Amino acid sequence: MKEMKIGVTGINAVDNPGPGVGVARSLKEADGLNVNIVGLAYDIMEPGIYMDALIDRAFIMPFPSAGHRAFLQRLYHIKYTYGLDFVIPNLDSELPLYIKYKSELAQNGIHTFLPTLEQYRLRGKDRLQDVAEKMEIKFPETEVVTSIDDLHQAVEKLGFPVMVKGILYKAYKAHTLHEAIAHYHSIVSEWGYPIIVQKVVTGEEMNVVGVGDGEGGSLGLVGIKKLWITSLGKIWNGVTVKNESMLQATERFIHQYKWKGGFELECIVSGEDVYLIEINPRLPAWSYFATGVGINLPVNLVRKAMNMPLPKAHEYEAGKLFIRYTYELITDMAPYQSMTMRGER
Amino acid sequence: MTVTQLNQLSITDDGFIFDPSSGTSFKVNGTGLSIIHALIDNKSTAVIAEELYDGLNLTSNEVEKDIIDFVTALRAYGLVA
Repeated sequence: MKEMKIGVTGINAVDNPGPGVGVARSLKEADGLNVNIVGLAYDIMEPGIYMDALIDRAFIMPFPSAGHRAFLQRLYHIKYTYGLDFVIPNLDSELPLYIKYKSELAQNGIHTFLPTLEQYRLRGKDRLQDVAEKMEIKFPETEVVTSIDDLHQAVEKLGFPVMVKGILYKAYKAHTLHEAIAHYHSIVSEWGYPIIVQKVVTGEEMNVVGVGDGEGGSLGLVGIKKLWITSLGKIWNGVTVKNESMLQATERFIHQYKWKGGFELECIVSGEDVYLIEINPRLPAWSYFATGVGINLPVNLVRKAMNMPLPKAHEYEAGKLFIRYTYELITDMAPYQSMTMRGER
Repeated sequence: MTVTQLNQLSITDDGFIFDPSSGTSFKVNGTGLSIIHALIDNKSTAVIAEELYDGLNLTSNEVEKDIIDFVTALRAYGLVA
């Protein structure tokens, strides 16, 4: 079978891990695919670079903020010097660039399977209420504020505790007005306006990972509950669940928006009520969990994109555990030297 | 009381219970396990009390009261409606 060289980003398997290593692992375990993984890193200390049993070659990429020309030129350099047939971008910051230039990339033989820019923008926290309504689930009572006065009015209306969130990043719980003001300024100074103030809902935090086929259907969904999280809020242990309300709402999300590509929904479930909390427009760092329970989402994504046969069923069992652990890799200085001097190994 | 939710639980012989809908797990002792199996068989609390109190130094009314308390706890955890 012809080898397919697939670029994978987010191979920063650190304490705040990117999705890339899990995606690479899923691709390598694919039946019926001959996959060569090309790691696309932004820092020479990304651990995935050195995991040569999993990542066949690695290249340093320019940051997307360097401009699309430098970014695309780098991809074409990799294509023509080593080979690159497909890319699965796994980081929010690079997605707009890949989405915007996916046609040009495809014309140059580098394929992707990505949401549209409009779908990507659904992740904005000021859009989630509309999305929740279309999914027929709930959304916590929310106010969008752009001033301290607005913030005062919002917390008075919602009552404490509240969540103070940036439109895309950062979320802090506030129990007092002083806390809310401090979080407001902290987020504004880093990410700007507007700020989202949201009533806290209680319940079980559950997430769903999936891939939409771009036509309203799903290429697989897995629901999980986090059993233990790190001090950075990242999953360490988890368990698969089958919460029908949440899974059916997710199918409505895919159908309504004709979602294309990987995604993660973060929800809070309280009895029969499901609240939408966040949408991530790409596979999450724990996506290998789905592969481990029989639903290989990265492979399904590639197969769909390349018009290859897809598995018939997307079933998984509830009650399977995800246990993350730390591990050490001892290796030679050579790849580090190569990455430093040439930006590739 | 509906036992549909109890039927959906994964229950081991030693009393480990997993709710696949919420991802929550519980543990019960042998008596609790017997009561849950009896509820799944659609037995009433009175019947369960009759079956359980034999050999205990309690009246069947007292046993039934404990069973009702146990079912209240199951309800609080969302395991029965």
